[in-house]
Amino acid sequence: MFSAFIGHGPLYRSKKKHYGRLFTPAVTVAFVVLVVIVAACALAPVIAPYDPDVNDLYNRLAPPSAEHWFGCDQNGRDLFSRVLFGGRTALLSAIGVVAISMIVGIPLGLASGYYGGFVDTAIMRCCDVLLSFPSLLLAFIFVAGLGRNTFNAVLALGIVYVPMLTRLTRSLTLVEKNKVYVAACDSLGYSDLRIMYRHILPNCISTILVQITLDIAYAILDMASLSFLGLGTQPPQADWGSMLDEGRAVLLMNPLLSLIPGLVIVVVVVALNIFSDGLHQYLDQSQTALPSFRKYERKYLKKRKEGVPSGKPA
Amino acid sequence: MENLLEIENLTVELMSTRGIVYALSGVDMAIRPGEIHGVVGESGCGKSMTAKSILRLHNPQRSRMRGSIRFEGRELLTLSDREMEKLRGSAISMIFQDPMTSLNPLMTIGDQIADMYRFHAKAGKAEAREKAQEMLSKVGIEPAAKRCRQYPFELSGGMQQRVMIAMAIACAPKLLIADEPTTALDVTIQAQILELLQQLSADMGMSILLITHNFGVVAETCDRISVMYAGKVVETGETRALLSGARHPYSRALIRSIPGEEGRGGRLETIPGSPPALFEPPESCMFAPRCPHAGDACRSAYPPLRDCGGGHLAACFKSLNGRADQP
Amino acid sequence: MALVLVVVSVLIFAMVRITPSDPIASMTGGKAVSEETKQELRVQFHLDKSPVEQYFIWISGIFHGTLGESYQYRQEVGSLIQQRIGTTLGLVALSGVLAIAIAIPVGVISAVKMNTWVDKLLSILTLIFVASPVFLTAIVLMLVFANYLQLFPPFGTGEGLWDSLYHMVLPSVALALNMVALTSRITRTTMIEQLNSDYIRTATAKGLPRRRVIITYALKNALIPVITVASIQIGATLVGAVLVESVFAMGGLGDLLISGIKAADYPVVQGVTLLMVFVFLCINLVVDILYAVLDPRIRMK
Repeated sequence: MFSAFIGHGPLYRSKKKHYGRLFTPAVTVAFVVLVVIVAACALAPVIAPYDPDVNDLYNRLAPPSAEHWFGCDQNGRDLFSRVLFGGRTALLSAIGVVAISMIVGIPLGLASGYYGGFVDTAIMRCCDVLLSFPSLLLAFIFVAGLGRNTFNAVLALGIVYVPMLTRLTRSLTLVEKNKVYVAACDSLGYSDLRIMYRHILPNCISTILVQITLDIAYAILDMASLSFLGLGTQPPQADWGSMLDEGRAVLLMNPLLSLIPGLVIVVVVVALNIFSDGLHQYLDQSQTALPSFRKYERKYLKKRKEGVPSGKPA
Repeated sequence: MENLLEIENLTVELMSTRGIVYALSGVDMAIRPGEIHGVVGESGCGKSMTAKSILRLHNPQRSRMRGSIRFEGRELLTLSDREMEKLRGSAISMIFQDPMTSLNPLMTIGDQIADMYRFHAKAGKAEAREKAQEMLSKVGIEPAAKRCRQYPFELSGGMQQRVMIAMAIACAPKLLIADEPTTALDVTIQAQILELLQQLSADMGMSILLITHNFGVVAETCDRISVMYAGKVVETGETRALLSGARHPYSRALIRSIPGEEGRGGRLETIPGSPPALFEPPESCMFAPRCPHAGDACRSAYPPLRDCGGGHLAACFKSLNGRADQP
Repeated sequence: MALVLVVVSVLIFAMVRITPSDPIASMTGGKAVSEETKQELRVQFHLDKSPVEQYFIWISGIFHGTLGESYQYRQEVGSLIQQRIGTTLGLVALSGVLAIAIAIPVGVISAVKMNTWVDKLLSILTLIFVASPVFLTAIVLMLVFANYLQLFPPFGTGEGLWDSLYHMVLPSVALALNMVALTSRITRTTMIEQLNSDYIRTATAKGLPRRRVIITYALKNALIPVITVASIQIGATLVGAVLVESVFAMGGLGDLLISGIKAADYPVVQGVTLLMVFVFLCINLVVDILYAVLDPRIRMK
């Protein structure tokens, strides 16, 4: 009623009904795991029992014990503390990568899809050139030019991730652009920017969101790859990728030094994948696994017994 | 007369994201040898569902079938998958609504016809190819030899539907199920396809189960008609008898809503309300909420199909008499 | 493709030289040298000229079969690459073949058995390999099969054909597993899509055996997106090979590239990256041809 005065949300929102639930058991587990790991890494300075960068020569390659849960590395640094602090680096860099790709990629995709013509051609050709580099190679060259450190690696990966996101946003925009509500916005004399950001983007955002959760997972993997090769985070700063690399030198003496950071990466990425899949299924019902008749009837009969209305259509 | 196909009390339940859908709840239908049997009804009433059930084309994980479908006396619902495969295409075949998506886009039409013939007739490659050409010229696609090597996307919609028909009749089936074969086509092409079907039925002595939502199509083509509503057959009879003296109020309403000569200039009749959602098994007459004649009996029990004389069956307690164009 | 290569070469050249760092240090190995020697080195490597001139010297060199001289090795980049390319391309080819041979059947099986325990088990396995960075897979394989079971050599490239292949088993399995995971997932998704399509219903209604419906009808139609993803994946194994070579100390192109980046050895970085992009573009070309072979609609255009 007051929308005319205080502005309003998008003119049109695709009405997809969500029958399933987002938090299925698998997604719940994944979500809890993610929250725990993110919280632990965020609170690393509080939780970590040791300074991650202080060498302790008496505890070199110490096996796991009550004092050092995961043991110590070749410099006697506490592995548990380093995993926590390494997580800060890894997760923050991954978020940074995705943030850069979003800030650049989404506006480009919107513009490309909405305006079409020359703008579209120009943006798409640029994407094509960037995509003619196989995966991380582009990031390698960026780092070669800019210098090897965490920030440059994040910047490089962010740019590498832009074309994919641009293409996705563009294809979604192309679909939305032809819907009636866009014409309606146009007829109301809304500016292009307003139409793109207030009306088209909200209708694309759910698909983009699914992609972004996946991108964070890939960014963690790619950052780890760069650090592993010595092109990202530099020692002595803790990072999952570079810790794996450092552990390699003493792999046979204490494989845990490599395996634990590796395992943490796997757990986080698996959890992100499950979460992203769950989100995707929740937003797009076509792939949902339906219950078997037996399962459904058991549940249905139980509900009936409990006196819950059976959901009879009016 | 011995029936070619008998469907008795067929129920099909489907699992959907919103729970079980009672897509068919006790369908009875009989198809005689050589006849063209029309099935009409609004969309979602279970016409296509019935057709797909005969060939058991439902995803077995998501559907459950009960009742009985007998083809030449053989029960189809209990056949093994292997035996069902042998039956499909050779004894019963089917064509679909949208020929554009129903043909494999990556295979030449000749190969698609030949492929099927090879499996059923155990024929060699060369023989199958010849058969494919023969079939194509039979459905009026010329020059067949050249067309054989074309891909579906190179043909028009009408041509594609002819290819579908050629494929369906390649093994001389006894029953052809045509699921809305003309809906996706232009009006002029529609008539050609229907004519072709009629002619093939007469030539080959093949029964056709013609599914459509268009009463006009049925009136011109079919020998007998079944009217379906909300997962049930509500009336069956000879085309002429049913068109002139429908017993079920729903059939009457449908017939009156055909735009025809007399109605020109006047308002087109419509049926108030919309078909029910099928989330619950029916306990009363499903048409009762939209029916002007409904009484207490209609709201408390489901009316069975009753013979009204001359093989004309109707599922209505009120079983109307008189001319169909009167309410 | 030629145009893309030109643009890419400019891009590579520009990016490598984004920061005006002096590569003299890498030539002299960090030793202090006189200003005159430095100047001589600059002239020798054309560093005294403008970037545009340097670019044209580099690019015209390519047509004369030379990629310039490495700063740190003082050797022709072309011959450096030649010594190492076999290892890398062998690794990529072997893992690519291995991955596709595993991924497609796995994807088809999980699509056909959708939502059964087989599908779920395969999903979990592929998920783990998607999530495991390729160097971690490599390290684990090395620990288990080379160090504990001692079935395969832990590092090196080996001599002669059979020994080389033997040395390549673990690295290419590590590379392949990652690729299998992503490719089989896309195979599953597209197969499910195809199996629900109208023409599959027609094929079933025709009475064709299930196996034939799945393989000749559905799989053939599902293959195009699968090939697209697989080709991107093979491109990714080019880079993955860099990581795996590092784990198994194989001294391939990856090794050359990384040491080049660390030492600001521009000619090496430029040469290797340009070669990798070229290989990737060739893969894409092959894929385009495959599309046309598979799909008559593309062929007719």
